[in-house]
Parts: sequence; C-alpha cells; structure tokens
Amino acid sequence: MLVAGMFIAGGCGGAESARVDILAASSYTDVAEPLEALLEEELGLDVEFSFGSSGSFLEQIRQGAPAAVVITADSATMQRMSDAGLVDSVVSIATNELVIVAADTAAGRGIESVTDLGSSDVLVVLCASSAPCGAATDALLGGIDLDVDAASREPNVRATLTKVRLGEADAAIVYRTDALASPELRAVPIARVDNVQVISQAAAVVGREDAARVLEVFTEPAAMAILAKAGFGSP
Amino acid sequence: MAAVPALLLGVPLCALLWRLPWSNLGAALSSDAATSALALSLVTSLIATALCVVFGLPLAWALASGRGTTTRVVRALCLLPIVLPPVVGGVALLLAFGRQGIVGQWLADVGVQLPFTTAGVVLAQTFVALPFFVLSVEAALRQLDVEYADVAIVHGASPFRAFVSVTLPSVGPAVLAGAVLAWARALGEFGATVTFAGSLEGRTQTLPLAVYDLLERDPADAVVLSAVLVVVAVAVLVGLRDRWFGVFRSDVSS
Repeated sequence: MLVAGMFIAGGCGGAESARVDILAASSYTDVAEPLEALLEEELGLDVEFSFGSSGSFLEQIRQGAPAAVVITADSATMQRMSDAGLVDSVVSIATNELVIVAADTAAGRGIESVTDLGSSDVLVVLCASSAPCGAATDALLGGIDLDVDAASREPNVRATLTKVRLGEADAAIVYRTDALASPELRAVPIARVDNVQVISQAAAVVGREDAARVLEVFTEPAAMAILAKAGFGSP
Repeated sequence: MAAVPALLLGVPLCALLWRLPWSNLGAALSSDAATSALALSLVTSLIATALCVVFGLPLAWALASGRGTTTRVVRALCLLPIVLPPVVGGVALLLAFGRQGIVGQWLADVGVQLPFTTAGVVLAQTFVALPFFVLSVEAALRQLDVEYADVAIVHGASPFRAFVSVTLPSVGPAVLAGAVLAWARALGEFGATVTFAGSLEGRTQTLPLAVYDLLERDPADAVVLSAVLVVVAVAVLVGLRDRWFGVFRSDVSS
C-alpha cells in the first residue's frame, strides 16, 4: 500500500507551479541561496538546487534526474555529457582555482607552500580523481612532480573540506571558493604558474523546459556579481 | 497487492545481474581498485565479525540475564546503531575517536590514530554490526532454560564452566547466525566508513566505497563489484534460510 501511495504522490508533481531543478557541483553550495533568490525573482519559477560531485551528474542525468540545468565544476566533465548528447547550450559561467586549506593543528600551522604537503608529518586529504577537484589536484601535483601520500580521497570537494574543518586532517587541496567559505581555516595560495584553473560551465539538459531562461540569467551582471563575491573568477 | 513490493525488491536486483558486463567480468574483477577493495573488505569484515563475537557474547549474556532499568537502557543503546543512519554513526565515531574527539585526543597523545586507517574501518564496521550479533544471541539466551546451567552449578561447575559447556552449545546456532548477520552487515558498511575512515584505495576503500567511486569513473565496473555483493548476500540468505526466521521469531516473542 505504501509503495502504491508513493507512486501516486510521485505522479502529482506535474500539477504544481513550474519548478526548475538545478544540479550543481558541490563548490556551489554557498552561492545557491542568492542564486536561487535571483532566479526566482527574475523568472517567477520555483528553483531548487541540489549538489553532488560533477562526476556523478552524467549517470544521474542519463538515468532521468529531473534537472533542467546542470552546472559542473570543470569543462571536461561537461564535455563528456555534451558528447553523450545529454546536454546542450553549454556556457562558461565562472572559473575557479586550487588552494590549500590548513587546519589549526601543529602540522597544519607549519604549511607554507604546496611542497609542504609532501611531508609525511602532514595528514592530507584530497578529492577523488573521479571528481573535478581531484582531477585538477592530480594535474597540479603531476605538474610540479610532487608525491602526496593522501590519507583519503574524498568523493567531492565539500567532503574533502569537511575533514579539515573537523580537524581530522591537517590540510587539503580545495577550490578557492571553498577556502573563502571557511574563514576559520587558513588558506595557503598555490603559485600561479603551478596552479590549475578550472572553468565551471552550465548547460541545458536536452528536452527540458525553462532551461534556456535559467542559463540566460547566469550570464547577467547580477549573477556574475554573486559568483564574484564568493570568489569565483569570470570566464 | 503482494506483487508490487515483491517486484520493488526483485526487479533492481535482477536488473543488476541483467546488466552485468559478462565480457569484461574478469578484467573488472582483476583491476587494482577491485582486488584491493575485495581483499580489504574481506579482511576488515572478518576482523569486525570476530570483535562482534568476542565483545558481543558477554554483552548478550549480560542483557539476557539482566532485568532492571540499567539493562533496558543498555539494550536501547545497543539497538541504536540499527536505527541510526550509518553516516550519523560515522559522525558520532568522529566526535568520539577522531583526532579532536573526546577519546580520540587521548589516543592521539599516545600515537594511536583511527580515522583514515584500516583500524578505523574495522571500528566503523564493528559499530554497525555489533547490534545484529547481540540481538540474535540475546534472543536465543532468553529462550534458554536457565535451569540447565543452574543444575551444572549446583553440581559443582563454576559459572564460567557452566556457560562454556552447557549454555554455549545450546546457543551455538544463534551465535553462528548472529556472526553471519554481523559479517554481512560489516561487509556492506558504507556511510560510517566513508565518514569516519575516508576512502583510500588499499587502506580504507572497501567494496561498497569502491562501487560508489567507480560509478563515477566506470559504471560497468561498478556493476560488477555490486554483483559480487549481491552474490554474497544471496549466499548468506541461503546459508541462513532455516536460522533466519528462527532468530527473528524468537526475537519477537522475547
């Protein structure tokens, strides 16, 4: 009976006022509220953000996730979805780069540069390679030929950040925006020549209404201002 | 009406086996991520099961023989991990045994680190699996006629001796069933593990964590590893088919 009830409830969704679901990279967690407010005001739609690792979006959309718009943390992930014919109207909306966050622990306080992460005294957590932040981290460490013995490769950038916020790890490599969102952690910049820039992109899920209108708002100055305030760069 | 829930349970499992990429089964199972996850899961879940038996037996015995409020409170505490979302269990474990945790900071002082270690995986698995073992064995102990053990004591056996040679043999099947249930639960543990121990290939990335990670990189390989867990689950059910109902029936009546 319960199951039948759930199916019926699920079927009623269409009767409600227009709702737009946005699947966003977890680095957007802190800008979702102002973006949601902006979109609702401009479009008169009920906008809902949900977050995850960009790497998981392809499978979610292929399996029919109700999102109209998808925002990835990097362009490579979007390219894969575009190649699979799942999204179109791809637009670059922001850039991000990597930064070290250090906890207020004995080992954390000693971190001055990315090479310090190679020390075995520092407990470092990194994003999993399957997440864009992990791919960017791999590119960064490969580029400077540094071996980091990570204690964990977390599923997404927020999980990575959390381990440092809880003081369980001394340091992590996350996006600049995540560091800005956690003022209690010390951010250690990575030299510009070594750093890896990711281009965050938004796109319309093929066949979904209202997606084009949402994408348009993302390119407006108001949205750019919200993103810039959170530390995103302009593409 | 019964068909709907039956399909709800059956169809996803059939779909998993239906979509199994038979052609690259061997390749998927022999990849580095898969073999290390298989080995790690096997080792950690077996150690967790052993811990459940060693620590669970005295606890089940104490719960079965106790009557007062303390017993009821302790029993409620022991049941909690069953109803708690495992990720909450992981948070609780961090607050207790993490580097900044109330116990963990003392452990850190003596150089013991649990988060991000294989020992941390075992701890998380034991935390979620222990209640299953304790429940099974306690139910069996409660049904037991205590007079047999009492007779043994009256005839000069020590309480320990009476427990080992009279009580234990009669609850042996329940101990075995509880151990298998606990092992299956430990093998499938995800939430508490990823929260408390993190995810690192070869150290803390167990089978369920590898499935989650692979789903984003190589869904076909994720299906293969998932199927391994399904096969294990089916084997457990077949092995327990008689005990299963016995365990829970006695649980209800106690």
